[in-house]
Amino acid sequence: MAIITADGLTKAYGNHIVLNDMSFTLPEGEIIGLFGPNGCGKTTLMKILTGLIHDYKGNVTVNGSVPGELTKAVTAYLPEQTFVHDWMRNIDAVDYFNDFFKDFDKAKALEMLKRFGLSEKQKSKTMSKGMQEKLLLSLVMSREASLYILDEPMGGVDPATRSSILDFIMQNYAQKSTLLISTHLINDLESVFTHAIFIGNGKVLLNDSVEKITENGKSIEDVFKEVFSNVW
Amino acid sequence: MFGKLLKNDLKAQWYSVAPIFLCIFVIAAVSEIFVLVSKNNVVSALGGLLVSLVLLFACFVIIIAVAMMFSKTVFGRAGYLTLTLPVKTRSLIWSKTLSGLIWTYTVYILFFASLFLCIHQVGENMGADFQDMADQIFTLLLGKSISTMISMLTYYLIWFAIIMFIIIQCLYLGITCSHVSPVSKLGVLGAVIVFFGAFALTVGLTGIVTEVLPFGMVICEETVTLTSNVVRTQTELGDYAYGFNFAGPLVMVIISVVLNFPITHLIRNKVNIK
Repeated sequence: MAIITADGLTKAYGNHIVLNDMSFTLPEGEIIGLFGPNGCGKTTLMKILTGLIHDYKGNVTVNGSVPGELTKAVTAYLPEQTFVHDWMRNIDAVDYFNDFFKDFDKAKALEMLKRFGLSEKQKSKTMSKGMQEKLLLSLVMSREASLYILDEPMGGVDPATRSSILDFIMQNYAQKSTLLISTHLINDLESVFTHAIFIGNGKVLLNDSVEKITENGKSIEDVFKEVFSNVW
Repeated sequence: MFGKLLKNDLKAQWYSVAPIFLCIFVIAAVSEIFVLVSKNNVVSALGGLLVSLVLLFACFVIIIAVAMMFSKTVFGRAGYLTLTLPVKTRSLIWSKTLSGLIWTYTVYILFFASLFLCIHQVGENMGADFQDMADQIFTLLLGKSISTMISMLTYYLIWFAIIMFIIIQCLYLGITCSHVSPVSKLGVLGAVIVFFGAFALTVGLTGIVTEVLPFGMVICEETVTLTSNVVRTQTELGDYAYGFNFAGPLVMVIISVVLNFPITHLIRNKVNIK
């Protein structure tokens, strides 16, 4: 069954078309890698899926519904940027999530904060970028969501921390749910993906299971280089 | 869910308005100490005046604080969290309007209360002439009996809340438009133009409706009269009658509610958080 479907999806910023008549489905229960060069529309696609952008053409569904109030309740989104309000302490952010998301596990979030060495009383604006990313990850991964959408979850962390964050994500996402991860760090994440979608020039260039993509002995990164060397 | 939104919005706004309240409290405390310690009546009166001036300043600052908080939480990076909550965009805007209204209204009420206290204090400390002036102001503003005073006060409090309501909605509309093409190209100026445009339109429309539908109440001495024509009744009752139109405030409430639709529409369909 498909968790995400797009049919004729088009999104433009002024005259610049980012997603051009894109149609695809993404299977449920997989760990999906969303790949593409900078500016190819990965973040735009994620924003559409999370209900942050509505002025697109075509049809999109998440878990069978058009992105909106219903889908937001079952989608956990980690944007590239820190989204916690400046005034919030870590405990305030946890309480905020607890107030609005029925699938949020407060005890698990507090446990994660402890594990990352983050104080409950510390204010978000006084934390380093790495600490803030850990806070956001704790919040997002404490939800029992049907779909996790993670936009460059390891973009701002050092290589040593990357593997521990990856382990953290893999241990904490709700089983049977779907993970959609966009990343440039294909090498670091290659082992966890079960499905991959490549986008470029506003089109879907490849959308298949990792098993099929790599059946001739190539890695995802090799395929990525191959696909995008022809496009760009 | 609306209750949770409101709770969190009040909490969020508290962090930006708290310094204003702290400032008011400190200045009020210092001026009160002056009043208690000083034997000089002029100094005592000036203390009260200072508190009123600070509150007047706070009235402007609070509006800016509420506007900035709206801009930050919806269009700033916190918008990633605000706009991915499983709630209706309409509820989000209502919650922010209501919480903004609560804080601004509190400061404005404090300002008017301090003004009354100030007039009272000046009257007490500056001698008979000022005492007479203070009495006249109180008579003019509050009527002559408890019942008329309550009627007038209630009208002013509601009227004032409605004005705050429309100001906040116009402000939110301006800020929202400034994040949508083509107004976004003008930046803050775009927000200011939309704000004043929407506010002027509301005031103009209210004026027209007030003339077309002149129903309301007239307070004269100790009586409150409900009437279909405030101006006519006011003229009939003489110089000491004060007229209060009901259609004007009603129109403002309707416009404020209607303004929620374009704000919601723009945020839901046009805005893209960077």
